[in-house]
Amino acid sequence: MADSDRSGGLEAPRLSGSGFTVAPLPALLAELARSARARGGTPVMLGLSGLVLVVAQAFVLTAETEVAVVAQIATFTFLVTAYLTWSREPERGVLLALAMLPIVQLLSLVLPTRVVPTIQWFMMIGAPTYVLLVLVAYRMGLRPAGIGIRITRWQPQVRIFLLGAALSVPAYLILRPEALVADPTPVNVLTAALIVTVFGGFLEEGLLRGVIQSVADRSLARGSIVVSAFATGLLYSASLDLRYLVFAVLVGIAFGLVVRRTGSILGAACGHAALLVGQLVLLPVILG
Amino acid sequence: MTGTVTRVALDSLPGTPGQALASGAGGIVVAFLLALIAVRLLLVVADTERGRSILPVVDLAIAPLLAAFVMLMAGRLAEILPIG
Repeated sequence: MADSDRSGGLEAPRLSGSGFTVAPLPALLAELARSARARGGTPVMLGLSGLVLVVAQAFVLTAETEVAVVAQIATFTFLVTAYLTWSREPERGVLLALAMLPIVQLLSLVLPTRVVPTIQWFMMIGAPTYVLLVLVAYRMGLRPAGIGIRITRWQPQVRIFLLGAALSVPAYLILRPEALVADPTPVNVLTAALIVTVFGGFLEEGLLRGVIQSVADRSLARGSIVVSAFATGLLYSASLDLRYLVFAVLVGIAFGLVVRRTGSILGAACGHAALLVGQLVLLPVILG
Repeated sequence: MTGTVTRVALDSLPGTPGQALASGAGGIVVAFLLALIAVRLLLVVADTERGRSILPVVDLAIAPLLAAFVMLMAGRLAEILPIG
């Protein structure tokens, strides 16, 4: 049996000197993963990562921004270290895909300012997130088709787009967001819709279903939908509305099922964009 | 997604890009970015096989955070320079 197999697929550096045994994070993770392997390995490792993400998100929801930022940095460090020390392929890829979440949270916490209109926050946060998305996809060896950017049968894609457009009504009624466009001229509404489409719907689908679900699909099969729904719930929990959180998770599961069945994220991306444009741009102008 | 996270921090949002750079949260992220850049430089200098395999992972965090920092700096420059 190979060394990495005997040690649970981990390479654990050990440091010692001056009578003290130093237990750096990789060694601790190695120890954790060794015991995790005895109890089933992958589910325990992924469960532990999920727990760390949830705890960090709890800091975002309840603590000062500075504390939340530190928690997200610690979470990113944990996930990346776990990815580097765990040598089991393709399971460990899920950890790197999940490591994108704390970076997105960091950007969302730090970049917006009062002087910048809310609609521009989407671009400010979305542009660096696209950079992250491309880098992770490249690192994971995902080509455009691998993250679902491909045309398959068009009927289910149209159906999921229409479903997304229809779901914008309950989404608006649950959250009642303020209008993103202060002066709703046709040009302003179209510009806002375009920004929300590119930096909201397309980006989130690329992140959640495109990369996270695709990477999880390699090792977890149907469990990948649980991972992407979990990531969706984590990001939307900051809405501070339990009904909206449940709604977002259910929509995430529906989109995840469609993406897994069709192998394409195009319909889900368009549906997600339609949902956000209706909820954040059109309905606040029409009904607000 | 991004909007909902920001809603949590709405009460403590900095007013301008300059204030964002000077705030505690902004400072922590910039310090993290500098630490990552330092780690990257050390890995390059170490020039080991293990280090080379870690580099792309470190870059995953450096690239988006650097892009964000550049945007904040651009906002700060627009704030202080008389350019419209």
